[in-house]
Amino acid sequence: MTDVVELTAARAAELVRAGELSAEELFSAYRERAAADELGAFLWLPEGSPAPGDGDSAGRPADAPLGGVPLAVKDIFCVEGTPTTAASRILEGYVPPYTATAVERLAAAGAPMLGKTNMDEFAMGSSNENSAFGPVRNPWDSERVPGGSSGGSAVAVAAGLAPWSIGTDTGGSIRQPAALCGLVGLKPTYGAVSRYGMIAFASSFDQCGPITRDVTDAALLFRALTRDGRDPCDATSIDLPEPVELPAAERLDGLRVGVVRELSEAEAIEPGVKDVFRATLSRVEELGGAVEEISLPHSEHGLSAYYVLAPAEASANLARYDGVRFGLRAESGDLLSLYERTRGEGFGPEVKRRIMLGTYALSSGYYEAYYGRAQRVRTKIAEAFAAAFERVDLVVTPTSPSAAFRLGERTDDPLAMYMADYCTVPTSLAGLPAISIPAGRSDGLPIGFQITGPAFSENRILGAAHALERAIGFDSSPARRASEGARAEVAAP
Amino acid sequence: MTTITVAERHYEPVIGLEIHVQLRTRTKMFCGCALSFGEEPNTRTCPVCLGHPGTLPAPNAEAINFALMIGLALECRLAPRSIFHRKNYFYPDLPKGYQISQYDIPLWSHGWLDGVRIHRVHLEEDAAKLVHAGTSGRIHGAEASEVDFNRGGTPLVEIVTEPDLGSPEQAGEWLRLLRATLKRLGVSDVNMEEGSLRCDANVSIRPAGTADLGTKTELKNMNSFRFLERGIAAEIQRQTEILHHDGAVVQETLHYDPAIGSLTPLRSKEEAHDYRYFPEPDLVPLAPTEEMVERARVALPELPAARAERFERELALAPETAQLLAFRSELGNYFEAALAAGGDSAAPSGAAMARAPRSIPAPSQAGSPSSSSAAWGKATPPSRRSRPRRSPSSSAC
Repeated sequence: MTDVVELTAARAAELVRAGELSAEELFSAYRERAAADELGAFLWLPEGSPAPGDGDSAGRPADAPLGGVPLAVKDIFCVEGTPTTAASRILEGYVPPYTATAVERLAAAGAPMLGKTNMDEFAMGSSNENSAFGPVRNPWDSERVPGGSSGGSAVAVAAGLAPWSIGTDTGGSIRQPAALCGLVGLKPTYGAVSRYGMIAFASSFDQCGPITRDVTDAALLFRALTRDGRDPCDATSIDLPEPVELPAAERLDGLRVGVVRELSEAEAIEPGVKDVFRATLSRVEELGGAVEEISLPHSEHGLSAYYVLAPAEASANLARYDGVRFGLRAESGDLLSLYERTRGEGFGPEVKRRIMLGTYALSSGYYEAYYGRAQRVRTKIAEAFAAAFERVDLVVTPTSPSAAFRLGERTDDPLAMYMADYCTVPTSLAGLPAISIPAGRSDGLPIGFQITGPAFSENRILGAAHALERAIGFDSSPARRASEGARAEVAAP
Repeated sequence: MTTITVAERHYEPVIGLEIHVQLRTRTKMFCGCALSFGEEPNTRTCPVCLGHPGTLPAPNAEAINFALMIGLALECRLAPRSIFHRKNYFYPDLPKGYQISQYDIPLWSHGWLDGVRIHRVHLEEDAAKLVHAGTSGRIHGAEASEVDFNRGGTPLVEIVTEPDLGSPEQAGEWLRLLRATLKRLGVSDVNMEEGSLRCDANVSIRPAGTADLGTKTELKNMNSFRFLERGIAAEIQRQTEILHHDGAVVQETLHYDPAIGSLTPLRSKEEAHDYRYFPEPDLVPLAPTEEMVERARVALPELPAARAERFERELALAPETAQLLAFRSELGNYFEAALAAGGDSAAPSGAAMARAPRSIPAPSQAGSPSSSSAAWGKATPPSRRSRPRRSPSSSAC
């Protein structure tokens, strides 16, 4: 059993179904590795094996589509009876009375929860350094960040502490950590996956999606997340127009691929990232795809619009943490000081910064200049994507302007930190699906390649990603081996 | 129009009403909890209406249907796509820190009822109920405050009139007609004492015969027809005296105290709100289909104004008698039953009125909400102690 960790989740599920691997042993093997985690990936692990009631998996994992292969869950998903913090002090000790639809559906499909993973507080961050419970380290280089906000979910998979995981993506929080950790990360079309039970950061952007070792695993999780159709508990969720297919494509013949000039040649993008990106474009052509340069007008303003709109929504979404009903409560003499002390002690600095930014952007006299204007940029960018998809089938960019940066390198410079979302945010503004796949390495660190398609074109995206993945042949095993060695030298945060 | 004459100056009042109607749906506006009628505090709650992290609103189709019926009854113009907004403010009775309401595009506008124009009709959710321990009865100065979330999330329809009413009596009369209309629709208990019908009034005065509106004040907490009329009358009197002394009316919100009949300004701290409205991203625009509107239209009964007109036209009743019978549907029903049995429509009302109370079942009395603190535990909201539970009728979310 020593090499179960080298199996993809799909392969492990196959072995379970064939009776060659027991789901219980698989769970224990990963539980043991996760318990020995010294990278800070997990915030909570169960005492023992999956609790009874974890959907179908508890009974006959072999019959379930996901074969009983355990799942790491970002600590932003509410799970009944399990502490859920969104990596914030303000929710320390909070135990939700209900379970998020995404977790419920995956458990029912045979992916029991392995544990809850670390993240940037309320998903606000691009390095996982904004967690109230300590940072997460990148297994490719433990002095570097894993990206964020789903840093724990990425590291759990990259370091072989979990076979697969789910995260959430608001402006790049699945794709960017996947890129920095050498993994596949899929942000589905807005509305494809239920947000019910997913603690809100910016409601009109937030989407749940898989972080996996390969494209097939991502497709499997995405299929299970959407299989039961729209969730009546989420008014913004919709039925997919077509069922999710497991990707099989090996060629890109006839596929028109647009390279976004503004997001690929920008000065902010590191030379090493550009090199890997250009090499990947050559692969696209070798596989029969037609590469052409396109323009995505206004996409360079995406970051500015995003950092008005997302904080505006967040300022309202985070108003419920007031010390009255759940979570932290700083006892005080009167109502105003109850609010001030609870929120003052409970929220970290980045969360406070965004609440203030968002409150300001919505306030009387400034609404038009900030929120109204940012909404118009959002519309323009969505229109630019729509125009682009008249000409091309898919749009590609680097996922992140840089490879994994050093811990502490950007913590004093919020704008430098926000730049990490430069290439991922335009897609989020338009609500479109996008995937990041590992495309190569620069100075030993993984570099991601982002593929965006029209709304609900996940099958097309997964197919193209699958073909490219096979051609690239990225080797993710060094990170799993490195994490063994890292244990000796890296102290747990 | 009533004209008040003070020292040879003539003033006329201009009054508009804002009415909140609690809908009598089976469940709350955005979750599956059954509505509460005086149950133990915090027994009709779930993660959604307690504002737990990660929860989302799912709109109530029955509430939308009731709101459509109200707009049709008030002859309003339907917005093809109306938008829900978040109205942001911190208060313990507001679990999410914002109320889901409608703002710049309400469901209905441009309506009409008996000569009074309807400015807008929109859907929103009610806040929870606060009970303040201590003598002030308000949150300021209270020793402790307790929250009962049973009411939180009850569907509300807000009806705003144009300033078309000219006297306290006219305002009271018109509100009685609106109440009779809503009652006939069967969409609400419309009980002012219990708060299922709440009315605020915007009051200003202006020199008689002029067209410009004076500075208005908003009157709150008039929880009966009598108090509504008295409160408006007191405010007209107050404004008249201010103008008589060459003062200026200040735009403010006034709290009516029925015990002493006085109006006191709400503390500015409670009022200084910037609600930071923005479109509710958790909901899609409300776009009623033709089928939905048609279903609501078919469900409309004969409304009191139409019934009064029919009594006048067909039975030649005096207008006052016709309205008396039509605006209290149980009396009207009794009257029509008596007619059918061969009674005399020429002199109906006296006898009908006299017998009515004995022969007509009294309107059902919903139990009044318990205000007993003993059940609650001081200063600790009950939801902290007991896990919120789903009511039996609630859906999965």
